[in-house]
Amino acid sequence: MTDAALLELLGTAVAALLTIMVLSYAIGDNAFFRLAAYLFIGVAAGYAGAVAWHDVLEPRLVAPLIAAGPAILQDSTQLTQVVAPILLVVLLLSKVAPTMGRLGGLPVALMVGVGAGVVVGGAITGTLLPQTVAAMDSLNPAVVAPQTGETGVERLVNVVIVLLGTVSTLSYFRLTGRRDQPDASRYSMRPVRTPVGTISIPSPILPFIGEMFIALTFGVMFAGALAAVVVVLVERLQFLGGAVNVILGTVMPAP
Amino acid sequence: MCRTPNPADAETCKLCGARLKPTGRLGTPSEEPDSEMRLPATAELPPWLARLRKDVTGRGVIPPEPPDKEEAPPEEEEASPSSEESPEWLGGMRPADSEEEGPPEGEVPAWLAEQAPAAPPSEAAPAADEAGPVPDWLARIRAKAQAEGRAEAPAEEVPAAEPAALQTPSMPPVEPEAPVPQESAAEPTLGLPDWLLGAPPEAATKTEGPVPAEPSWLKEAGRETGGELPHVPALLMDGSAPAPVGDADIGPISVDVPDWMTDLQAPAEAPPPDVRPNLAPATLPAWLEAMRPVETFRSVVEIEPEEDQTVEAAGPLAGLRGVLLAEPVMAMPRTPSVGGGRLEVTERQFAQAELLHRLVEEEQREAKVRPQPKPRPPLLRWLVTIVLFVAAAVPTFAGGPAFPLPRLQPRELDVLASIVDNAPVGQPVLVVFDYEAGYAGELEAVASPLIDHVLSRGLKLATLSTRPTGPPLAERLVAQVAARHGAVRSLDFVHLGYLSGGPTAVQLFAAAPTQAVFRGYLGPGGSPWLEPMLLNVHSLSDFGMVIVVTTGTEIARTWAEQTQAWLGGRPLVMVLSAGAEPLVRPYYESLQPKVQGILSGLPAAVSYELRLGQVGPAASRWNAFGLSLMLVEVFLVAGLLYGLVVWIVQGRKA
Repeated sequence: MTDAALLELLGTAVAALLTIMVLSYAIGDNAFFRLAAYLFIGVAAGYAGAVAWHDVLEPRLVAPLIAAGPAILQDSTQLTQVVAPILLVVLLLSKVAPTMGRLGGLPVALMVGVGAGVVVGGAITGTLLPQTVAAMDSLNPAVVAPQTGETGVERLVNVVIVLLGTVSTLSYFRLTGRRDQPDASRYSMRPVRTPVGTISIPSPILPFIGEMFIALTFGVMFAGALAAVVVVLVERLQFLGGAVNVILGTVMPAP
Repeated sequence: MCRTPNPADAETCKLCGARLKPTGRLGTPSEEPDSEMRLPATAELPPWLARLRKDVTGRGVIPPEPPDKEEAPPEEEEASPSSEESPEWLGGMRPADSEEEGPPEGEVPAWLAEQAPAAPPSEAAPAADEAGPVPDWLARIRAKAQAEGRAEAPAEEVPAAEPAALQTPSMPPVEPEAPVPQESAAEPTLGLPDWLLGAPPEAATKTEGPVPAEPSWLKEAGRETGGELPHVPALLMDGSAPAPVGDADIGPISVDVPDWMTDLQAPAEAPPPDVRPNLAPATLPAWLEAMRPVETFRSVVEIEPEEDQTVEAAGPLAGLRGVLLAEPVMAMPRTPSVGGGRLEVTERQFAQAELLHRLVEEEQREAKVRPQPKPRPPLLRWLVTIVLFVAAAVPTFAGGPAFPLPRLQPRELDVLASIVDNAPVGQPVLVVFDYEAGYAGELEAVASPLIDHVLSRGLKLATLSTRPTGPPLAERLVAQVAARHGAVRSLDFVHLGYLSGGPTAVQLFAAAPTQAVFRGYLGPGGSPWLEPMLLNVHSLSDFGMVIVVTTGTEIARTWAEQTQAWLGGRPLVMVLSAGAEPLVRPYYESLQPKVQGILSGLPAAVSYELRLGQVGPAASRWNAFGLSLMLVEVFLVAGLLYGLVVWIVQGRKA
């Protein structure tokens, strides 16, 4: 057996053992599960640190600084791409000292400000406005029909569902409340006469419908997450079966 | 007064400010001191001293000055010595014999004669040289004094407390040739001749009545002739010692020295008279009388006899005896000075005290340790676990029930397949692996047919990740798929590695990919943009297609929002976990979609594999997935029915 095969076998055995340790949480919280969790956290943190050095710090800051030397101060491009980030890093490290912690506010403010600007700008131009326009266009059968192929009652039902869901969901997120009754129930039951008799419906009805749409959405998401977890469980069991075959095949080779 | 050595020409003490030189000659009529320097009345002096003053000054009888109410309080006037009451220190002197009644009449010492220039010619003292012979009467006194050793003469010690304030440099010594002890020479003479200092009038004590007991400080001074430390008597005297007269801070010397001598010193201000008004004894209220801690009071400072008092060893009071100790007052426990009596409380206060008492008693009472109920084993959780494990394992290992593969393909699968089929061959495909290792079991199965489709068309792959653990996951999946197509790293696929910075980095990468990624993953080293397949890539639109494999809706939304401006019409495809699909699908089903293709969930992956005509990892997990999902649905329905039954039963009970 070569070293590579031995390492692969050893890695498979360790992975199988860790998988069993994690799955032991089904019995209850135990030391094996905690050991595996701590090991995963530690390895992930260490690996993230190594990647940050290998892919970010060393190629972007250290290597250009060493290569250019003192002449880096005469290059405007290097000043903005290397020296300025180094200064920001130093300022950020100053937050470790309580007396100089205020200096670290500059890079933090820069990161937060730039990040917020990027995210908010992208959300407005990439999500809010396009989705609003799309919601309005979806009510126009002349526009939707050529794309979806829906015609007649099918398209009408879809348009009604989309319209009702959008309006009712927006009405659910009302930022108002009763000052005199802060803990009052969100809805009150109101009797309504129908041909089959008097029934009680929640009032106001529109936010209630919106709440039902939201619950339906969360239900779909939960079902999807459950399906994903089932797939992961199946994959782990298949891995364990394959690992057992590999280990047994190595220990007890077939005649 | 303070014994501080001062220069010879100093007029006042540098420490206490006492005058060191007399303000004028004594006894001259023309320079008779004022009220502060007034000579004592003749009646206040011993007869021999009065006669001597008469010989020198020529003034026979000096009447006593009328009492000055402002400067001399009546108490002090009463305490001033008179002819019948000599000072204590003077009483301690040996009484003079009949032959030592002083110099004979008409014979005045030379030094005293020089001090009286205005004396009448008939009474002028004979001029005598300073070094001249000593008169016979003085020689007799001196011889007797030397015979008695002069050790018991308190006059040697008494002037010690009187510093140079009474020493006059111009005053010639009576006997320059006589060996004067060093200690006595340094001591002031109070203006008295040596014959007077050396021969205390013993007879005077006999005539003055019983001599009071000698103070202890005087005894100590007599024994400690060469003592280096100044002696300060104990502040607390025993019962045998006479009570000090006047201000105790002046010291014993000032107490015993006559007032007229004290007046010759620095014109210190007389002690303020005791002008306390005659206050009627206060009458305490009943409630305050009840609170007064009479029985509980105990003095914390016990006065010890002087012999038992220790000498202070350190600090500014070093060498003093009888110093009050601070430890008993500061550190020793003692009975509180208030609150020791009986208190009158109201009913409300009593009730509150009772309540507090009960609370404290309850807190002090030991609570009985109740045996913890044995935790119930999570049977339901174990049951669900066993069922799911069995449902996932049986089809895998035992080839259990086979579920039919999906015959209907999702509508979005055709769109996705067409996107891949229409992707330009000369442009690489960017695949972003943004998921954690825990979801690899699902997303590898979902993304595998898409990667397989891309590589089967001969498209080049470039992987990227905004998570540090993304590049190994990309290598894991791409390497498996590439092995089936014979794809080679660096030629058919390249790992760009880790993109740090979140949404900002995504926008930066979309605008200038080469400026955002510097070093690849598992490459030959150096910049990955130098690989042949990436030489023509300078922006995001240079990629033929962008595929994002993720489990989070936030990451999918970030890529959809931040890359739209730089895609240049290139399709954006999302490979999602089943749980993230509902929130990403609106980007796909919009009339102006931000996402052109979508693939989510194991059923879609199985359909994709069927479309490709191969059995991949998705199909291999289909049976186990189907059986497990069916049992999960059974559990959900059972739970729903159980909840409905409980709700109905509780509603009826209510």
